[in-house]
Amino acid sequence: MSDDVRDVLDAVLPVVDDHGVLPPGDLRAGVLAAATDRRSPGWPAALAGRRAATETEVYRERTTALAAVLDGVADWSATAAPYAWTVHGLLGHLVAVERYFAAALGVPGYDHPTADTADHIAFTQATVDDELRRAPAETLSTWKGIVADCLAALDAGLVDLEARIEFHGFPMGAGTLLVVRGFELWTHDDDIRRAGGRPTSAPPADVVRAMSQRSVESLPALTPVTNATNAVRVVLTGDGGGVWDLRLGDPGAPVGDELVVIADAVDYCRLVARRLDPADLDADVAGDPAVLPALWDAARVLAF
Amino acid sequence: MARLRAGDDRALAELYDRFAGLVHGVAIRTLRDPSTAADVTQEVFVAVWQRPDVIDTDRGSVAAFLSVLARRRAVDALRRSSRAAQRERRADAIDPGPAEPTVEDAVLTRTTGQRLRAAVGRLPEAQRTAIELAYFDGLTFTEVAARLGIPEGTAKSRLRLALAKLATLLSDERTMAAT
Repeated sequence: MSDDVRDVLDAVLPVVDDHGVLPPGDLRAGVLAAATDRRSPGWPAALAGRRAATETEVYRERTTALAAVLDGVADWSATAAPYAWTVHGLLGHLVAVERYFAAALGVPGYDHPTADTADHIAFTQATVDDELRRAPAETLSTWKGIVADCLAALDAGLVDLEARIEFHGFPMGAGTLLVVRGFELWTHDDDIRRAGGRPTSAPPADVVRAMSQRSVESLPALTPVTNATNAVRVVLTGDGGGVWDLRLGDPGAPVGDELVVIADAVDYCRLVARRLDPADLDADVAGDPAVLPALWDAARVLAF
Repeated sequence: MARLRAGDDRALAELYDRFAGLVHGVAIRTLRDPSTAADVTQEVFVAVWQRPDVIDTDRGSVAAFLSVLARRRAVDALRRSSRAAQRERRADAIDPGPAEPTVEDAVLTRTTGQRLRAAVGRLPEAQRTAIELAYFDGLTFTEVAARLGIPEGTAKSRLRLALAKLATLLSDERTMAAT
């Protein structure tokens, strides 16, 4: 029998018959050690040899992507669901938030808004009204100008990414705010695409990884322990995903029950951004799911 | 596979627990040497962990992919061993060979899947169904029997008949291609 025919039959024979031969028992540990030595666990194969995007890179990539979407808007009067605003109105909202964001980072020339910023939507309405009296191209130019100022300040090292700042009443590191902003920019990118009948999109893998990582790593601090489950393994599939082992509650407490959650990384990010309901997340779960609602609530805390 | 790609080491452990016997069996049958077969078994699982994207489950089961990869690596090991024996006489070093799945591995596996699918399409219906469940869905003959509601002995003989027929079809195909 020729080699190529044997190849084909060898592919079938072990599957259809009991031709398995168990290897030596000690091989398993060696195989797993050799494998994880070659490729670290927890890191997606698609990013092998690469790193996650930095906080500044997340902001730069998301603003660049949104600018491209805005440059292609054909109908500024289309409704940008889930808001009552038009696409132009939503851009006005972005102008107000970008100014507030610049002020929070300490970008020169930007002051904190005088309006109460407790409500992420309401505090921008005056700016939205002002911008709607201008041409969309002018509003777009204004938004791009603020973004350019932020990026220039970041590139010049004028923003201390380790500094503790406050945004909408939430204390966080300045670097975290850049990633949080990335989520909102992605969300509105999708909103504007949908308003124009265009398909939604996802950021590149290194950006998704940075966003999912920052979100997942924040979960322990925000998720209360209410039963025996205090260990959670989060497996986010897709090119920008990864694996995280989280400990809820007191890190010194004995490890209790474990919950394993497996979901797509992009879907998870959309859940974080409140564009996907937890009930609609296609997730595989092993363990007591009682902690899941609290986990998803924690994931969505910083969605503005 | 999605978990492997994400970097879930537990998924690798589960893959090993499920398929180590299969991979090691192919290696043993090809090499007749338990020590080298163990090396090949390790090489296959390390390779899959490093490049999980090369497994195309649309074109055949994971089991089939691992079988082909194990056989290719075992044949490589045989060749290395033969070369090493020659080199030993000249006190030369042994070529360790590729660790990650190569493009050739992926192409061979896909080609194997395509050729097999075409040949399976020419089998009698009962044999074809059994082989499809075994190869493309990755079921064992026991599971095939349960799925088809037939005795295990019948499933086994049906699969063996199908294999014999496949061998004939594939050999004929090769002869035709050569003429």
